[in-house]
Amino acid sequence: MIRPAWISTPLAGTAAVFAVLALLAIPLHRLTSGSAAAALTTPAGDADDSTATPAVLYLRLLADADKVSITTPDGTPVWQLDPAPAGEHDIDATLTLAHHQTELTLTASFPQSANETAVFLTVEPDHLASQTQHAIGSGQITETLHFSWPE
Amino acid sequence: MKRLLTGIAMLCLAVTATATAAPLKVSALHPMMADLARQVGGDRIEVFDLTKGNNLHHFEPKPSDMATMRSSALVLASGKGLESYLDGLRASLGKVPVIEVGKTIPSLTVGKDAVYSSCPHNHGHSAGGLDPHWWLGISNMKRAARVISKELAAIDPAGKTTYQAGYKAYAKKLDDLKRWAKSELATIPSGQRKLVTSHNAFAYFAKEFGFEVIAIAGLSAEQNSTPQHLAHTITDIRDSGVRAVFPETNTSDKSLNAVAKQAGVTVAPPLIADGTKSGKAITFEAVVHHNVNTITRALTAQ
Repeated sequence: MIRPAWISTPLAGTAAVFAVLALLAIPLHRLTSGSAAAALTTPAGDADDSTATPAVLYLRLLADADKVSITTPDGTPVWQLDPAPAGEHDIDATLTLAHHQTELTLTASFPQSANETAVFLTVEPDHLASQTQHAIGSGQITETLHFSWPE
Repeated sequence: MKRLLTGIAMLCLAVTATATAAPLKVSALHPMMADLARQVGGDRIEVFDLTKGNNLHHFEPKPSDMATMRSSALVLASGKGLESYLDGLRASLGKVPVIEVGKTIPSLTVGKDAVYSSCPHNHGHSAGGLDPHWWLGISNMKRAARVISKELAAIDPAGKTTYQAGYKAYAKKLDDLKRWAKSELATIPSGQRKLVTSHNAFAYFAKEFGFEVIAIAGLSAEQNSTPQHLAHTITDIRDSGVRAVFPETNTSDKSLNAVAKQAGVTVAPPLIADGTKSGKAITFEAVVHHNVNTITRALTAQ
């Protein structure tokens, strides 16, 4: 087998080493510095350290909504109110917390004619302080709310 | 014969009605747990506060208390290590469930959470200890009311609607109480927001309303201070310019009085932390009103 002469040059050898290092760099970087970001984006149920935690969810609606649903980012239903009158509502749920964090997607449908309004979602997991996030809008509101607690 | 049968049927109905109307017996190992149960359960339950007038940190049930608990549907303890005798009690009570109401409430730890400014030099002042006084936080009591509502409903499913309604009504009262407390305490200047108390009981209250705690004794009033800690406390009070220190209804105020004299500050009327000596039933709302009014008056006085 005939090899081109440049393959055996020192320059080609150095280039090959750099190419291998470049290929390894991306997964190495993910392994060493990407853990926190990964926890935010990975569905909580898939994370190794995720724990099912009993929690109370409180929903405060400033105006009557046709429907409100709370799901995990992967679409697993957590809570659905249909109809959802203005006022405070609560439910016992089990949330999956990874690195003391969780995300919930809130979808609220308000009558088309209604003014801009707000929905407040409070999450109160066992042993952790309660936290409130909100979404503002009119018509159909869809927002992913992020909750995190110090580890 | 027909009359006799009707009479028997009426009697059976009356007996059944009486039986179903009998309230559920609930024993409480803490006056605030007794109050919570009354607020949530209303007339549907009968609450026995077994610790009336006793030191909560060292309460030991008497044989009559054990008999009351054995005949109860539920025993409510505060939890977080306050009742050190719970394991033995559970074994002795057998099937009667003992619920640690505060178990799932977020904990504060002395020396770890910033609210404690006491004992920065680790003078054996409960550093690292889990603070059991969660009931002095209004939000905590709201969480606890929900716990009690669920526990009562689990034992008495027919009363679930009553317990849920009791919880919701009480939760609203506590929301109003917190708003009131916040607005009253907001009148205290930021430099005066230090609670110098007889023992380390007010951290949950302090965290909720933006105070620091400087305690003379540890998490239990019997954990005495060292001379170094007392000296440090006097310096801390002088440096902070705080105007008053607070004794408590159920603890000795000897050390506190000495500290106040040395630091040249006023001794305010006593706060309520672990109940009252009189043993009279007291509500959490009354405790908060008393403490907030006492603190506000003392720390805003010119």
